[in-house]
Amino acid sequence: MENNGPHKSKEDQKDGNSLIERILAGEINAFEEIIKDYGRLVNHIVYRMIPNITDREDICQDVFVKVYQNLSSFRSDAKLSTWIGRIATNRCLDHLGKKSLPLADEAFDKATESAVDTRQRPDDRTELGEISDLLKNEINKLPAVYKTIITLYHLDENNYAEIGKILKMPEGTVKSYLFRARQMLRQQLSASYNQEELWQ
Amino acid sequence: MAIEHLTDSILQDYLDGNLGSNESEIKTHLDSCQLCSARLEQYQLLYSELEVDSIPALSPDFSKAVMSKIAQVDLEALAVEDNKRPVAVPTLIYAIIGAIVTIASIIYFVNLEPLTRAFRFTAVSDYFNRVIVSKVSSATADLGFDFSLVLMVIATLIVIGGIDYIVQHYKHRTASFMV
Repeated sequence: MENNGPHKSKEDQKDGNSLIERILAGEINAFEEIIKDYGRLVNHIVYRMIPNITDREDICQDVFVKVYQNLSSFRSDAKLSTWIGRIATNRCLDHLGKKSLPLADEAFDKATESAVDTRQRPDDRTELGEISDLLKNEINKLPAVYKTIITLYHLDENNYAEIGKILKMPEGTVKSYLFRARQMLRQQLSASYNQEELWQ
Repeated sequence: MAIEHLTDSILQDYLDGNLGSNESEIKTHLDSCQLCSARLEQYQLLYSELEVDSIPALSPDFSKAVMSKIAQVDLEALAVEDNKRPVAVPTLIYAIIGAIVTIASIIYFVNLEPLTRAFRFTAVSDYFNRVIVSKVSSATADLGFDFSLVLMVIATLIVIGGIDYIVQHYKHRTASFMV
């Protein structure tokens, strides 16, 4: 995957800007297109950052209401997805009562502890069976910041700079967290399966 | 570049396409090193799994729910805007005229004599009756219409206008609760 490729073209950005102009001119129903285009991104961020399942959909709704209320302050040179992603992050942090995502080292230590716990229970491991199930399980154990970065990079195809803007952190930190998260997951894969079993 | 085994960082950069000119050298190593190519395969498997969206989608009526919330927010914003709007100059003039006409009507139609006597305002009352009311009455009679009738018409119009203003003022609030 190309890291720095523009995943949304300039044409998409133009479309986004004209869509906003239409909404601001009073065509409120055009906002449904924004929900359709960016609902997945907002859902991903909220899903990864909010542990309580019942709160997630309400928070997603709040994010779009905030987007609507602040449309006039959107700068046309910015990327709409990044701007909406940032609003989603802020709403999640508000909900969690935090000013920023947990510190990397603290989060990493927690994640490492959980990784050690898993290794101590081989029976649970083998019961998981499928590699994708195992990975899903391991991703869920990661700290929220790692899970969110992995999702924004691999599923929503944002680059380091865009993720940095969405999560309010330096590009270098994004890259380092992404590396550590993937390294942990690969190590989990290795620890959970014998090489022969994995590559048959 | 002398390489024993590739680090995790290099393997990830290789798959992310971030290696630039070093890429061919890494490829050569991967072709000859079983351990590194096995680790690369692990990463390839991991990457392909990470690109599978296993996050539950939003509910089908999500968009409808958001649009309904937005409609409510719009109405509330409109109501707040209405409440914050400064009183317009015509409204102010209208209110002053209304107050003057109301006071004049009370003085003209209601017998204030016992009240003015009780508070020893007889001089004021006499002054109104003798000077203002009688002079205005004779002036309007000269013009060919009844002063009391004019006062009644103006007072009725003021009452209708006031009721209309109250209805308009609270209409948005009531509507916002209905959404």
